[in-house]
Amino acid sequence: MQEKNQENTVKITRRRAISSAVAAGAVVGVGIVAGLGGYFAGASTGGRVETITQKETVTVGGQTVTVGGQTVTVTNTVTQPTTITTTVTGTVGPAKPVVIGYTLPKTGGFAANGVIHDIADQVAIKRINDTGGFLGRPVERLVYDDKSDISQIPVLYERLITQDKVDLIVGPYATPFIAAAMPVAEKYRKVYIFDSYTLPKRATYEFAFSSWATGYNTDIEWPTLLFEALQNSAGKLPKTLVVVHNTHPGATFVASGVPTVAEKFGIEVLDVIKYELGTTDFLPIATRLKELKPEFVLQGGLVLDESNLRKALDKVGFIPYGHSSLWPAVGAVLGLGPLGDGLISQSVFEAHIPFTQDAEARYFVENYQKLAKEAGLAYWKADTQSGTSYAMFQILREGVRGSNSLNDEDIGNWLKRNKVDTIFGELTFDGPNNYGPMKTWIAQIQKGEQIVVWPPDYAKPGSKLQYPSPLAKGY
Amino acid sequence: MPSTTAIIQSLLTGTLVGGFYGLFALGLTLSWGVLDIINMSYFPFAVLSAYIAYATMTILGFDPFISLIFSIPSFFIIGLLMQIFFNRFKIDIFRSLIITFALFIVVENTLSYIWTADVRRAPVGFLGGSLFIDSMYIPIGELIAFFIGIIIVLGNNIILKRTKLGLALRAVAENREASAMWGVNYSRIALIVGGLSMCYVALAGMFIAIFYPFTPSQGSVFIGRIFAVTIFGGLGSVTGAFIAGIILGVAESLAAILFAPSWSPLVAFLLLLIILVVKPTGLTWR
Repeated sequence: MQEKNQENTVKITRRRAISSAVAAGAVVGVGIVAGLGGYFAGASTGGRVETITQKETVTVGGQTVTVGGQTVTVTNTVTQPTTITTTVTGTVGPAKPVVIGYTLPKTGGFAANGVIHDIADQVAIKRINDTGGFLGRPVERLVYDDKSDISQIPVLYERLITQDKVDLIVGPYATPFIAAAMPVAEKYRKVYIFDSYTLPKRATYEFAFSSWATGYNTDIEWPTLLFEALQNSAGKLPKTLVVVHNTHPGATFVASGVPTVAEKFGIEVLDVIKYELGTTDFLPIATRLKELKPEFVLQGGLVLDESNLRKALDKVGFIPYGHSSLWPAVGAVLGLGPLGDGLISQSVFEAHIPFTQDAEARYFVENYQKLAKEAGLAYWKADTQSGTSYAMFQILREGVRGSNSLNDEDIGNWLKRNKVDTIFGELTFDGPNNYGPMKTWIAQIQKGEQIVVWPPDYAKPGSKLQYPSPLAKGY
Repeated sequence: MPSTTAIIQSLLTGTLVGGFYGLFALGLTLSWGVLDIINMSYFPFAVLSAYIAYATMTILGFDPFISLIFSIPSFFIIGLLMQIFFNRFKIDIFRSLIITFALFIVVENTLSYIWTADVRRAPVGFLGGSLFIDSMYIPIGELIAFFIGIIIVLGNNIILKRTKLGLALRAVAENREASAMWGVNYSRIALIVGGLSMCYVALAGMFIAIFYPFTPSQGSVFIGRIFAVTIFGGLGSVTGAFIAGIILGVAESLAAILFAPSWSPLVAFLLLLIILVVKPTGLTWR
């Protein structure tokens, strides 16, 4: 072998050797620059000798090479017979970031939850960048304040896609806003992952994916799970209940399934009371409930509704044996003190075992809670709101890395075919409207803390659903 | 069909809750009726007062009424400064709407910056409870707000009818130019009214902290209702605003118990519409 090499060396002329080496050197240089473009974050100057790690289409004109928005000069020096030294000079800046655009309600009526999502998203993006970014490129957020104004949503998403030309988008916060951005995502065929959508039957866009595993039939599945929890964990079902729900489309949807499910469990529905979204005076509703005296109040409310109704019930002198809701602002309920104890709600994530047995869940809890405390949030614990937001970026991350692409359709198709590990377990998107099984659990406020109590696989160890409530009065 | 007890109870609680609406509308009706200033910034300023009450309770551990020691004087000064600005630049009614809306955004964003957009609920103790008489209940916080409203209305009527300041106020509200011809110093009157309006805002804001969990944008929740009460009561009429608040509160409460809570806003604003068509000046004599 050595002899053969020696023979070849003899036959190649000096001019031909240099010519071949320059050509090979150009290829080597291209690889080096591509590698540099992809992997180095800080600006750098001077010469380097590198290994080819990535191929990329480039323009080689003389010795100037443009890769990933960076322009550098490549000089190849050939030392006969086989040693090629490639020197890269000029300034190589950070790799062009992948920009994810979306909106959040930083002001206005939804801002209380918007700030929670914002902090969770910061943690998620940091995690993505700490683990290599997207295809070797750092990831940045471009977040507009939608001011809790739904009319802003289509305009801002159009702007993100057509003017800002973001690489990817994710959904805003809250069901009506997510619904408003969906047609824009569909128009531009963007993969559209969102975190707090409660109308699974209307998420018909083929690349729409929810990080909140509500299940496709949440109107039936959620009350079924609730009554199973009462039956099995608490050991007792109520005989009567009243459904109280607001006009939010998600709350209306879930509430609509309750009477059918209640009948199957032998529970009599005494009344269905509907109130306007944004109601502040709950005394008339509490007065009506005091008259009806149901054993259970199933409230389809959100944010401040539960704590307002709970307070009003206390004022009228009637607390039911059981009171469940959907999506309360936990901090507002805890602000009621002992009166908040016993309130049941939906949850996909709480900062306790078994959720925190997952390493990434622990990372999320530690970092989110640190930032939430620093931001001065009264309720700083990681829970469903922040958890679904973090998981939204987990799903996008796995979609990009799994498909090895930033192409929206590639990511969307990959997600449809694969399972994704999130901080609240494995999610699939293979059912109707890309919904997998419901993974939303029963939580309850107990001794000033919200914990998951049902099903046993997700319940805080040693806990069980408390029913009837020791606070019950007025019967 | 609800029982007679439930209907009587709704009348009672509607009256008390309506008293709070009336109290909240006092600042706006004075400013709008007497000074021709539609001050949108009263809503986030009321929330600022709620935060001051919240801080008084949670940081200092005092009763929320103690917060008024801080908020009333400071709000009076803010009202004075705003009015100096309005007088200096001769701000008319339409420009006042735009300028104070800008101030609305500035104040709300400042609140978000200081306290974040997170939900706060103050530990209000007995103020969040009720007095019980047989099966009837009287919410304590709402009862106090109602009586404070009555005291203000009575005090306002005494000032208006028995003092020179009251006479000057009525003259300015009736005809600013004519009152000036009779020696009324409008600028001085405007400063007093501007400051006083903000004091009422401070008072209403403290009750927000007692009644509701709140965020920096909580003021927006009340805009429609307080504007309705102000117009219904007759611009510039403290008594009218208070009575209009009670009527609105009762209408909402009865609609909720007799029909459904989702009917409350419809019935209340339908009532407003009818009254404005039949008597556009609202409850005032003008």
